[in-house]
Amino acid sequence: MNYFPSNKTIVITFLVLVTWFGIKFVNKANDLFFQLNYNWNKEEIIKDYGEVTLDSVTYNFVSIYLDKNIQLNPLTTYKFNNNDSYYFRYTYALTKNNNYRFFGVEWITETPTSENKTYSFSEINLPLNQKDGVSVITLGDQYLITNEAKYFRKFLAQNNSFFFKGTYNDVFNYPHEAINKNTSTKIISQLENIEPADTFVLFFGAEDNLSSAKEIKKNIEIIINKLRVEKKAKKIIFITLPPSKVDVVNKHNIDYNKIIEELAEVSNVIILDSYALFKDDIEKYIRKDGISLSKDAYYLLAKKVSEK
Amino acid sequence: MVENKNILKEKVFYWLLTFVAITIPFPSYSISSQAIISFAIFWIFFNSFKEKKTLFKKNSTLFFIASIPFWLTLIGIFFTNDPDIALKEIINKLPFLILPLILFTVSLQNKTTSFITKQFSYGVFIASLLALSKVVYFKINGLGDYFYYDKLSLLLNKHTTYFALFTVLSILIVVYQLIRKLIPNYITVVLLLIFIPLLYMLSVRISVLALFFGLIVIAAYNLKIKHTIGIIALLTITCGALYFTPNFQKRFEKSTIDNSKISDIDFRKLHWKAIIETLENNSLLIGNGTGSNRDYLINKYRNYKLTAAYEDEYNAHNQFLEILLNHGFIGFTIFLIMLFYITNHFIKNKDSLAISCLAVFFIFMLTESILERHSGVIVFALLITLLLNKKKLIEKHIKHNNSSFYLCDLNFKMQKPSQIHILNTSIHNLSMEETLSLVNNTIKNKESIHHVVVNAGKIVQMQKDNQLRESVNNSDIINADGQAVVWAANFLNKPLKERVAGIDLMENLVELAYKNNHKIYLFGAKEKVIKKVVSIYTNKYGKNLIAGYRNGYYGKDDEATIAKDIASSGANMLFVAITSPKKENFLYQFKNELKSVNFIMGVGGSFDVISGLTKRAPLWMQNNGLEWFYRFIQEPKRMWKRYLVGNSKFIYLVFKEKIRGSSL
Repeated sequence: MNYFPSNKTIVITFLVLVTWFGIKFVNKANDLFFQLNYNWNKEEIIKDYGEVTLDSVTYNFVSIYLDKNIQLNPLTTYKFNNNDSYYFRYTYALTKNNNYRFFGVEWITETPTSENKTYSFSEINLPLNQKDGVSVITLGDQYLITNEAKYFRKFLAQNNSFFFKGTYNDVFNYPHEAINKNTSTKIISQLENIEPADTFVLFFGAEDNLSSAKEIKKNIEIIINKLRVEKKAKKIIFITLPPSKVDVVNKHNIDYNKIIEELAEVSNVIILDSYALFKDDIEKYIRKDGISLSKDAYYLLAKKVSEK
Repeated sequence: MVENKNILKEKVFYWLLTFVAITIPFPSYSISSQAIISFAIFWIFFNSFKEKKTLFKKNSTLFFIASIPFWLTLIGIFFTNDPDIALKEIINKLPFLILPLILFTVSLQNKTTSFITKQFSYGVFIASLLALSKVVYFKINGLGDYFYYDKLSLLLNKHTTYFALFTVLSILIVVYQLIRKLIPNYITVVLLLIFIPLLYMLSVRISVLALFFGLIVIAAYNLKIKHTIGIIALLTITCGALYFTPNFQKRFEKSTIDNSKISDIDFRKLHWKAIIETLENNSLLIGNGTGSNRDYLINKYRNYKLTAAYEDEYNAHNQFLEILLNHGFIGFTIFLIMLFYITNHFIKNKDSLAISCLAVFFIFMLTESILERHSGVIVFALLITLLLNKKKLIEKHIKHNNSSFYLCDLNFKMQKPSQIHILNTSIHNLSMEETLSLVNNTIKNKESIHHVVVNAGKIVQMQKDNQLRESVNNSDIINADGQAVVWAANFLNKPLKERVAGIDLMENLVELAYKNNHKIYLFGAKEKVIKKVVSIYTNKYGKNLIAGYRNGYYGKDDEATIAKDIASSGANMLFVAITSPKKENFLYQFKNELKSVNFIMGVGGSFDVISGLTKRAPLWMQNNGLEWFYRFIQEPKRMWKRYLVGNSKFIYLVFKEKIRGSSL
């Protein structure tokens, strides 16, 4: 007698496997393939710049030559088209004559492979689909936008039903309220234009090195109070400054963190101690510059924020 | 009730084994782990501890060989400087222990290896289709091009090298099964139409080399020399051309090191240089231990500015260097002994699929530490154990105008064979391999069986010769020797599995006897012919094989003495080459006297063929029922009456039975 599974059993087994993995893929696809998070049905051209020549391209950089002067906008999305379409967003750009160089580029679908090729170039609106849920504003300085910080909101969105709000948009198109070189004093004025939200994630202080402890303390008290009263914050998570390989910066960060911790005890703010989190593996969590955080660090921060 | 329960148990066991094989290529590591755990739990209750113990004792060497990577990892735990990682490594290597333990302590059904390897290739096919459907979805919706290398691996959710390994193994399995007619042609075409383009899309360079050598091994074992040379030439041109295609050329792009670029070969050289320098720093004899941190190696990568290597903490990307790093020269030597033993075992068994699969693993080991990742561990542990389990495989190929094969896995479980009845003749519905299994088990169990083959001529004779009919029908195994008998059975709606030609069966049995240290007795033909046959077998298998022999010329009075001589010779198998019905009548008459001989078989004119006195018909004539015509051409004077009259009578009898059957 033959005990091997019959053809029917094998076919059913494969059908179950394919269905199972199909469902699993559909559920996880948005995290694995970020382009699925955009609302492609609402893609619309804002401005068509005509033909451009692609000068140089890498996974995070692109350089083009354009015959006319254009005003670039890092808050929107750009598109190359030549049979296939290539979409990108960027962090900052440099312009010299008719050469436009984009840095910190995120290619949304794929990277064009052919250089010295002509493409039609346009600025488009490509909205990001966000989950319905808790509204979150990430408020702070470069620790929330530059280098690997772009992954922070992306990681947070993967495992939570967060709806990000803000005046600015990061390279993935998540809204935020982070500005380079932001200080506690500037944030107080910035608060006037910020919408209310359920949760505020605060990460600043690196630029407060010229302010006195008293001034910093006072500013933070004002910020927390405004967030609670005017912005109806239900939860405020304050991320302390991380360790640094640069001694001066590291000393400032330790001093600053003491102020935050003292305030937290009296103002019911949730403290996320990034210094303690990263200090035991600085090589892994702090980048070569000795100050900014690695992708792993942001992943861990997002995980800890989710737990809070 | 008990029988149904046992059947269900067996079916679940084989389904679980199949599930382990088909989940390997699917995009989740946990599902294949869960499949192995379920399989292991079921195995605990599947057969008795006594049976497990007996089979373990019998297969202990093979078990230890197949599980060496696990034992090395386990021993390495004593030298580790990171017990937590070491523990994870032990868990990762558990399939090397579990799968051999299960598969060597269960009496597997015949063709298990063939069935499971086939299911594995179907698994690879379905997993590929699943990934390709996603690729196509992304492409047509403008969401990106995922047809190439690392991007394809995102949708396969498997490392490219490992999926390429699965694909190469699947291609070899499919080609092997195609040659052996174990898989329909159209299925082969469908599978290859996916596998080959997929391999191109994956663009893993080592896979082309592995496929090249794997196919050459299969061709060399299974095809004629001129065809093998043709295949080698074709493969060389195809594989060479493949390297110049855009996908593969892209793989030769320069690799990035800190602030500059170097060729990928230079990158690999520096990578291995870093490993070798680390080896010098480690204990040369016992290595660094299982799961130990590799800070020294990572720093070496940094020194050589190998950005990707230190950022992603590359392993050795070579299984042999990996073993040296972890287990030193002692572990490395043990690992080589394992590979040598397995290679020797496969070569001894002439198992071309096993040799080609091992060659593929070996080639992949040169550029990837394949036994360090979950996918590599499971596929190696499962396939190598299954292929080792074919340990008593008899693989024989007869090179005529074409090739034919007889395959026999002698772990086959004895079942009472079914019979068909046509033209007053009982015929067992057995394939060649089933017949071989039956004989093997009979000798193993020290039983005795009398075998006979029937062809059209003999069936015609049996219609009038009552003694012949009685002797044939009372035999323990009756095989259909002639193709005409198989056709007649089909025509009468009582299909037989296949023709089991007496001469082929005899040749397989002689080889089986040699492998199992059994003895044979040759009886029949002229003195010159029998001596020639004895000489051929002695040269091929040694003196110990032949228990005795005598020619087939004797008087009626000599029969009892001959039977006594055979019985006392110590032979396990007796082959009798005397004409019908004298042969059948002798064997039937002295059946009791010959009981000490486990297997008795009449082989007609086989001795003449083996000695070279007469030639056998080409394979195409055999397959098309024209062997009689070939013999007729060779000896027209002697054979014309037998075939002309005999064959006509046979056709008449078949039609008569058909009409009678229809009218009933």
